Amino acid sequence: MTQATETVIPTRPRHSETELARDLKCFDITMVGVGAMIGAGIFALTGIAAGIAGPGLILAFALNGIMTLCTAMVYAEVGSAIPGAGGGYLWTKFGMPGPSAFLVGWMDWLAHAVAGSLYAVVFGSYVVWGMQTLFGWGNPPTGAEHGDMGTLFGLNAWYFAKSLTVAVCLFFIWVNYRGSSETGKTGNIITVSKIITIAIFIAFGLAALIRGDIGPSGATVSEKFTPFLPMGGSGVLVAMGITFIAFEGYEIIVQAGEEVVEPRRNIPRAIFWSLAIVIPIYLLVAIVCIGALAIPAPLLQPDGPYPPGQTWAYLSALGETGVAEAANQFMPWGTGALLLVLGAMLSTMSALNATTYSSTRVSFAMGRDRTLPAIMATISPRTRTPVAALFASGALITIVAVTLDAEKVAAATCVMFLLVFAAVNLSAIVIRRKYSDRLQYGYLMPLYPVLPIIAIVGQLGVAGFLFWHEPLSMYITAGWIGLGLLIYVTYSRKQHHDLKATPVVFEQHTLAGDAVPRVLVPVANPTNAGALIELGARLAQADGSGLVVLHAVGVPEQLPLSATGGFVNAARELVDDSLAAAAAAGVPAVGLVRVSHHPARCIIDTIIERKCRTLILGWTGPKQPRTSYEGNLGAKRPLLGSQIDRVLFQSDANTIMLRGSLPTDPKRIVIPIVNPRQGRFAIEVAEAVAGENTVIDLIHVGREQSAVVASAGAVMQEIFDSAQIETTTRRRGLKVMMQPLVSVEVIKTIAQAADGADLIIIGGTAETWWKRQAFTPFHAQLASLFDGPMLLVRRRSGAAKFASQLTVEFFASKEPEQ
Amino acid sequence: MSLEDLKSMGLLREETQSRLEGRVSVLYLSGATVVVLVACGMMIVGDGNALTGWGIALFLLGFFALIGANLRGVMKGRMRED
Repeated sequence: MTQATETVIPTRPRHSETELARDLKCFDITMVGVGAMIGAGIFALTGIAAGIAGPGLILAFALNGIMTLCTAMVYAEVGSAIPGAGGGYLWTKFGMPGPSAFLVGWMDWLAHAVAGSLYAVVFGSYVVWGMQTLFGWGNPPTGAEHGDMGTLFGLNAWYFAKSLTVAVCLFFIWVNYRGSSETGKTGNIITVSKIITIAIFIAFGLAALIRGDIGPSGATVSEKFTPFLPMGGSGVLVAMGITFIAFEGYEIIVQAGEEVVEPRRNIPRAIFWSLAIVIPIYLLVAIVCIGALAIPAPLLQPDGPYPPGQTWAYLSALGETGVAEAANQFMPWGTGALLLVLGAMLSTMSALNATTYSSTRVSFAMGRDRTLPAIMATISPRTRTPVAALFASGALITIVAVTLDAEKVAAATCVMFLLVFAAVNLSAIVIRRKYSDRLQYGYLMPLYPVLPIIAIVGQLGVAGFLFWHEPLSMYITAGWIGLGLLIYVTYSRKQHHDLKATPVVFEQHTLAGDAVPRVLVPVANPTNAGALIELGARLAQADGSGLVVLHAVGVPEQLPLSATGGFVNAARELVDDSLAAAAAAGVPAVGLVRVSHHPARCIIDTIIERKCRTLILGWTGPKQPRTSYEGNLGAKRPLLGSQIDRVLFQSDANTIMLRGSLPTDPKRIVIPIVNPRQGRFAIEVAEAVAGENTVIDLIHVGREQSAVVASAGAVMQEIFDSAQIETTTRRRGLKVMMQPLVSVEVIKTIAQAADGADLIIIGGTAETWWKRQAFTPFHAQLASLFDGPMLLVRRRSGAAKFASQLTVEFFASKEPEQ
Repeated sequence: MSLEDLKSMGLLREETQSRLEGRVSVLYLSGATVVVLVACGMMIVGDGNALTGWGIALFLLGFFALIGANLRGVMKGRMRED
């Protein structure tokens, strides 16, 4: 049965079709960053972190500020050079191999969404608290018990808080839907109001602290800060981890990279301005909350739980409303509660606005790459906003806010942010190393790579402490990463590959029954296509599969892929002829024509898509044998050919390269053998191409007689389970003879021993887990000394070893991927 | 991702284009870093007393210097000819 399909070359979506409007200025994105950072962090987490670190919370904020600045410098550098939606996700695509970028985007998406839900929850809590204290519509929480929200209108205030949480989530979904300009304007108003409000709070707090006349406890300011580290250094580290969520907002600035005017200059400036505003505010809020807060008389010892100086413990018990309580105490005329409710509402609203924005941009970028469903990349034609990603992210924020305990999930969120930042720091090192000469930076971090390394160590250290302190965060993080990997393996990897793969312009099947084509034969030259198809047919028959016949049409870089002209018709003829030859050999086959600027890419894509086990290539032999190995990829001179080297490096299939014509009934096949694994594969290939009476001569060359005999025996033992020098193959019972030879000139000795052979089969070199090396100059030199038909064969490395080799090569090589 | 992706995003520098680079003074930055680290040490050693207060003040000073060094680096970006 023959079935042909012809396809017009698919055109990828033009960039403008998935491009966002560029209308945010430096001030706008600075406010986005400030708005994102000053959110629930100081209102919800100050009290919690004070309970963990005591007054050392100030030190935790300071150290977080330094660590944040290190990473912010990295963000400023890469954000100025590669501004685009997705931020960290986008950069890890360039700076880390394999599924790393997907996992970074996956974690970043959830982390921003959970951060947003935390802000929404705190918004609800503060509004309810304000109604209780300002209007007397209920009873506020007493501070004697964790989790108590008091009552409102005689009912549990929890229900009102959750309703407000949902309402504010929906409001910001609507604001973000209206466009980034509207988002920016709304954010600016809210953020500036918030900064003013907090500045007033700090001013009154400092004034009260300086006066030192707060509360009935009689504790001095100094006593409230002593001991400074009641929980020791570990308490500071855990507090750093818990509050890290309040320091990540600058990341949202780079998420907006695609919508910023003059991003090369404005992104770094906005990052640094936002930190200059936020870090001092955090320190001052922590100082006034601990120093100016007083414990009410009934809660003081001996009747209550707190000694006079332990305001940090009281602050911890108040939790999310601790800062509001402080304001209530030290601001005049009862304005404290009003101001703080207002401040908290504005803060959480701007932070929710920013995190809704950022989680939307991450999921949009992932949708554009097809690592999340393509619908996520849908842009509203009216508002130019990523509408599907917005609704998905908004739904995630709302669901988490309503269903989960946001405070508990916050620790896992911090771990995810820390892991994302560590990945971005590593990516920044790689990007500078691989791409720096090709990019235009608006800012370069000094002391490269010391700063990102310090940041990585700090972030992983804090993440480790968080795992230790909050095991739940480890389970949530591991679960989310595990779910991400599952989605990546089962869905995202294929979708992303399909998006990037070289287009198939023609496909024809001559398949019969259940045969699955697993042997790939790229054909380009009519003079050797017949020999390659014959070899492929024998191997396919040997393992009961079929052939994939591919013609890769190379289009010059200067031309679009659609400009293939008559090449495709010529390619179809060659593919038709090859399919006919396969049919004559009784092997089912599928024929493909692909086009690309890089023909090697067509072969690699076909191996991946069709899950080909075996690849058969034609090889013309060495033109200029190299004397030293310089790595297959990025070498100044190719080893076997630039396209072949690339295919061998970037794909993992059993590879057989044919030079010359394939003998129909070879009497003698010679196989030089050193590595038993590759030797075993060479013998399998020999069995497939051998005639009825073929003799296989194995040649093993060494420098000393006794050592050669011993190692030849060991090789035979490994391959045939017998150290005898004469044996037979397992499948076809062909005669095999081992010849141990002593010589210091290995290549010349093999060439002499192979003289008169009908075919020589040379196995690939032994590979390590860290270096991908199929063949060496040895193979090229031997090929130059032997004129007869030759097969170079290499057994596949296996998925784990292949991944390991590519990962090591990715970080070791300075060459960018082409 | 590859050079081709960067090219499609319009981020590759043209051969004829000068390279814009932010320039941060390492000396200035190192000095400010030492100040903030010393300030953190003062906070710990002070154990809640006046020295801790001075440490906080010094930290803020050093932190602003760090930010200033970086902002100056962005503003005084240089054009580098290849």
